[in-house]
Amino acid sequence: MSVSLINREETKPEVEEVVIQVPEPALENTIEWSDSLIAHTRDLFKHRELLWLITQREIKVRYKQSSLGVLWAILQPFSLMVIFTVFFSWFARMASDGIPYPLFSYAALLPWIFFSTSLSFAVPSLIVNSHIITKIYFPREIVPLASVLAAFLDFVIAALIFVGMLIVYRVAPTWNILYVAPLLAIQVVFTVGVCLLLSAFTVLYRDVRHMLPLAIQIWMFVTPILYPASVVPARWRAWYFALNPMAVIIDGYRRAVIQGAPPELKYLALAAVVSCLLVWAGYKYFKHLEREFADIV
Amino acid sequence: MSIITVDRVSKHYRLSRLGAKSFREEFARWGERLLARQDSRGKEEFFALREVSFEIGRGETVGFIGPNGSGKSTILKLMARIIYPTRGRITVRGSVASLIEVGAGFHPELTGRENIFLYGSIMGMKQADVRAKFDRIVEFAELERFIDTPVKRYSSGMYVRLGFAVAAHINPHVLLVDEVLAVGDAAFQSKCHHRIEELRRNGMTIVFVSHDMSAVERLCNRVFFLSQGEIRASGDPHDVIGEYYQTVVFSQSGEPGGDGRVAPGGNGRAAEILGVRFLDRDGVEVDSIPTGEPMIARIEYCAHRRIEAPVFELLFYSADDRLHCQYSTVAGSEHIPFLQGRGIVEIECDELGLTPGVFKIDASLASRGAMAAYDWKPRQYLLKVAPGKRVRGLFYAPHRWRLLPAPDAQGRAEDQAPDRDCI
Repeated sequence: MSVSLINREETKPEVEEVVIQVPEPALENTIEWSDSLIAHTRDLFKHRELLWLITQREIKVRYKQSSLGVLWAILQPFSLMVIFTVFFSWFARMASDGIPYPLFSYAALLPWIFFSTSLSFAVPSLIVNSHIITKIYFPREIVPLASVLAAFLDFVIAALIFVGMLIVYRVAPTWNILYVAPLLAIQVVFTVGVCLLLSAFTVLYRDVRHMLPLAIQIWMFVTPILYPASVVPARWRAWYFALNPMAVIIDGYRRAVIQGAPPELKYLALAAVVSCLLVWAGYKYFKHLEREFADIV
Repeated sequence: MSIITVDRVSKHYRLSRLGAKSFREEFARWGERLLARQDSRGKEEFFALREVSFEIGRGETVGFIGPNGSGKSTILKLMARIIYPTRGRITVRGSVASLIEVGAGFHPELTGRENIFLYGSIMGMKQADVRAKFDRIVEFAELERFIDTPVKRYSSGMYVRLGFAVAAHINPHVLLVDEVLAVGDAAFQSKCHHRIEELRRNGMTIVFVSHDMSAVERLCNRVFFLSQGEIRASGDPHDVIGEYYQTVVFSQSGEPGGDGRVAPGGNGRAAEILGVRFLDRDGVEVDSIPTGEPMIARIEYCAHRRIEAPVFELLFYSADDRLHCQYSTVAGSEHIPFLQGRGIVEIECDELGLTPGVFKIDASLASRGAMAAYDWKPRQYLLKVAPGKRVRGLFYAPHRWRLLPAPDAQGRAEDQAPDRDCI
């Protein structure tokens, strides 16, 4: 009779049994690299909690150790408005279509800062988060999208001041104020499109990151923020609006909220089409490059 | 049905494309290409993996071993969907969590609590799920007091504990682990191993990459041995690890300082060690002996004059230069009264206690109680210990098992059956 060397299974020390339920794998839950944007969107939707958490992280990290905290979201457009009013309105006598200049500039600065903040955080976001991208899988578009979402929350906070200003300046809203919803929607789509495209491109070419501040500045000057769109000579105005969706959008906000007029609908429709195409192309390009992110970044 | 299918997957890198470029470099390259009238791509290709195919079934624990740069981590990253295969197809049915680096998703500015939620979510957990397991995670990490402190103030040990604690509480279908268990202090490491064991027994499919052969052999039911991006061997852990030792560890170990066959005399020593040879059970000279097999070591010496009370010693050092074992004539009861002229002493060992690896050996010849040795050959000889007896732990301790009858019948039984011992 012999005692054989006990095999491995039985020599395990008896650890306190903790029941862990490993869920049955859902067989359709297959991880594959797909080319369909619908599948990508579904995957993104599944990760919506992560998008929200990363957005929260962006905001928390940005304001955590600053004493003014979230007040910075208001301070940036507000101080720019004050400076613009002093220099462009009082000193340079800039035309403002008869609107009080503080109101005139704030109405444009608000959406513009949403756009520029989105860009300046989203474009380098993949590089900034490379330590996660090379270690864990999740839909990468979450990273730039979270930057846009965080900028949007800043925008909402800063918009509260704007509501106060409307009351102070006794601007009575008309039904045309409802145009704000489509304007905002088009702006978000456009912003997301640009951010997806440029953030992916930045992974390939770091130059984009250095060019960005300059590009944002130039873009700001070709958009009616300091000045009314009406100062652009009439023969150029068609091109001005057609080539720059942001110009249509910003001009549209001013008309809808302050002047009680509809935006330039023809150009707005064009901007909407351009934005949708951009987001489609941007997402496609992003997902195409995504496969290489972890190799390159 | 297999949960992971890897079908003829290759991954290659164009070395020139690694890392981001600037526009200027790109223009320069275009220029070069135009001038050279040829495509410069393709000449600097590096294959991380070549045509690798395998399947992993549900509930399996599979290990990948191989030398550095053999493609182990690439495979893991491919299965984790972090990188994309150049060719071929990978299908994973079910959710995957990867522990490529513990705490990779942490943000230093956020508190431990916030990071648990963030990291959990990055790893694919639902928030409600994290909330339900939150207390268990914190308890596992032993960080109750610091949970609301930003993790940038954590020590590296605390950081790793938190990371593993979160990862150990996700319930994916497939868990991919890359060499992360070698972190934390010994107590935490054993906790991690226990947890992995637990997950494994509960049917989770685990794939892991490690250099720790004892962990691989203990945890895995199947092992793949990779070398230069190809699967060299796969199957039973014991056999594959054996092959790994044969082809990689042993061949990389290099030659010992010399075979020691120096002509006697010449250097004025009173006595010299001329060589050490190892023989197997049949008395055949070998350079490798499996764990648990008999070993005979022969030390050849030459005493140029009469040496009283000599002491021979052999010291076995592992690859990381730790002393694993010593054979000395002082420790044993044998006493050699004197040496004169050439001769051989032999050490006989019934069961070799060393575990697989390459051992460098010191041989010394001294006089009992003397300060300086007559001769000392540091790390001059080499013994490769091959996988033999299945052993877990740092060494194999020769032993015998015996089945004893119940206590009341003991006396009688021992009289009747004296030869019950057996291995």
